[in-house]
Amino acid sequence: MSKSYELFIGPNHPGVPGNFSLHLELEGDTIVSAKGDPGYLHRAFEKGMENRLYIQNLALIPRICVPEPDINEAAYSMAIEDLMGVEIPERAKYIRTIVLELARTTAYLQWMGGYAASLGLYTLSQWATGDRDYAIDMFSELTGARVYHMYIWPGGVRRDLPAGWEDEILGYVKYLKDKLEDYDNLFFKNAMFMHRAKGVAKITQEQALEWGATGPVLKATGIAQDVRKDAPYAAYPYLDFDIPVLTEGDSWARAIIRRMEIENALNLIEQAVKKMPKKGPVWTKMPNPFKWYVPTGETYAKVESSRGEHGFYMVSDGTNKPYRVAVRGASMPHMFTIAEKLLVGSRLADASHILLSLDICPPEIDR
Amino acid sequence: MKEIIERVKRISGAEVSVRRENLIFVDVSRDKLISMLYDMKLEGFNQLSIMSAVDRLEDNEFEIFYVLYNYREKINAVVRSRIERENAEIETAEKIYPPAHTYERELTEMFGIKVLGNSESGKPFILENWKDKPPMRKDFDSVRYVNSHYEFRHSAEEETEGKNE
Amino acid sequence: MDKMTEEQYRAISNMLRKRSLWMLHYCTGCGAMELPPTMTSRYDMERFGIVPYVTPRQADILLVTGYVNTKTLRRIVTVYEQMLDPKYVIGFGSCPINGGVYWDSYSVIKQLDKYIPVDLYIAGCMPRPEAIITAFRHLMDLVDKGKADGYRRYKENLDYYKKNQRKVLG
Repeated sequence: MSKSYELFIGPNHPGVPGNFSLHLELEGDTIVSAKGDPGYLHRAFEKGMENRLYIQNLALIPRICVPEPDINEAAYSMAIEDLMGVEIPERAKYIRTIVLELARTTAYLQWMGGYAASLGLYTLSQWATGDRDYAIDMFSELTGARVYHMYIWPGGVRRDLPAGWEDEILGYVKYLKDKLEDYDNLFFKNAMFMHRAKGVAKITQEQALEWGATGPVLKATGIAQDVRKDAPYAAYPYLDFDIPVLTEGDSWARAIIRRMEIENALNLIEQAVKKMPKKGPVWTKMPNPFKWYVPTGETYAKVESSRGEHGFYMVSDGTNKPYRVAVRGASMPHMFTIAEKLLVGSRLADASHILLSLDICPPEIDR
Repeated sequence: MKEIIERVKRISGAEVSVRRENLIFVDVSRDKLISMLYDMKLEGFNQLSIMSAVDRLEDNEFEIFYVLYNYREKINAVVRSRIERENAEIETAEKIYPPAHTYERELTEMFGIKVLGNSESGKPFILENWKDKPPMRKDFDSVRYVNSHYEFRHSAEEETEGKNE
Repeated sequence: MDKMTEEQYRAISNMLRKRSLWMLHYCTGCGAMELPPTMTSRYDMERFGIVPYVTPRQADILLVTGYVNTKTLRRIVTVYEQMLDPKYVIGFGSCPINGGVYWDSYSVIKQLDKYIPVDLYIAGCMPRPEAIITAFRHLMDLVDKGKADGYRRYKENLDYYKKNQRKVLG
């Protein structure tokens, strides 16, 4: 007769994606119950945003999602532009698309490094981190900072592209497309990865819809739902792309979907650079920040992040500070509604694998 | 006007206002809230994006909102309802939308709104050892809390017990 | 063979110790995004002998990357007390110095060195990998001269640190 014992996969652990803790109950090697323990990264963003002017919030919001900060700026700017009724210029739409797709590529490269490390293959994290650094170089030339850019703001983007940047980004896209074949041979077609990941953490289509999944978790079960096609923003109405869909619904399918999305992102960057208008303004003039009064109203603006749907619900009361901003991160339902159910019945060695396969991002949960 | 908006207008108790062609707001009174969510799910709004509250201090009310999504018609609907601020409580929606379980736990901790039927509402979730009033309420002044609990460094050469380089 | 004096013994052991400092792999805040580029081959910090290691019992440096929550502070104090002497703490970014961007947040602590002793701060938000490596070189210098004595200060001023910790953690 076996008794169950408690185990904490605590915050100080390289197997959890960030500062996050799992309380498990095990019998032997099998997990009997799992509870997530958030709150180690809570910084009270939503309260802090009510104390600052609309433009001061731009320094605060990239820090909500650390691996991919541009989605926060894009959703915030779209919410303000919707409330004020402002249209952004054409060239700014294409630049926003390029920046968002480049951020998506860096987020997926970062994810690949962590995911392969949870399965024990550390070569891939060295390659992925190195290739991601070239993209960060592009960002630092365009916006001035490596990680937190503060480049997309209400009205457009902050400044125009520097000379020669378009050729550099096309060179980077070509370099990464050639490198993807090496990644395939090392990891995605590796027999050990398939053996480890096929059949693990499987969810069906009904379960995914019922439990609130979005992004690659939902696409791996057969539903082609993507904010870029359903509620297009920036330059996505003018660009040509498909949504990758698989039907298996397990860890293997989710990893292959993310691999196909990297190729999608690179193709979108190429198309956007070629179709962009060659000259034009990149910013619609907005009022003086102290007198920037947003009309009373509520709205919900969403973008497609690398994990799923990322949305900002904004309530304004006519003054120059927001009244309430609620941030919707894709990881909250993935962790508490999906992962807590999937962990039951799996083995201890798969605990960290399941968390990384669903791509949980703890700063999004705690805000 | 899309046909789905006409069907939502015919649900009993709904007051619909259209913001854009893919975003509508549905206001409903407090006692019809759970049945409205159930009717919206039958109309195809089967995904819950986020659920939280807005503190309307001047009206002495909380405004609870649920952002729903209909994938077939590609439209978002925000269901809103006002409840009293004193002894605020709502019924759980987790039987209709399972992700609401976690959002309601955060709601109780941050706003102090009791959720009936949710077994974990009231237990600590994100904060630990919090003894003050719920922090997202408008009458909680976070700057005053910071000044009474923490101290700022005044100069680079200030001598505390440890040295800085 | 001559007997070594205390000073000579300490000088030799400091010189050897500075070339093999092990860092605890604990990503406490958002500054941890710049750690993978520092650890991999572009800005390689392993050539200085610094590797990330998972258990606090065998690590020398505690890198507090960025802001610290009250919930995380309790775990950082536990981890710091689990590490064995001599141990060093580096405060990363502008948040441990004076609160940083989260100066008005009710759950972020404002000065890290009221709770654990800090040897070195790195300014920036976030610091570049080159800045991190410069800081590590500076720390190696301090270890060589014997000036990085945070662990001794913690034991001498234990009441002061414990009083501050209890005030915030309850």
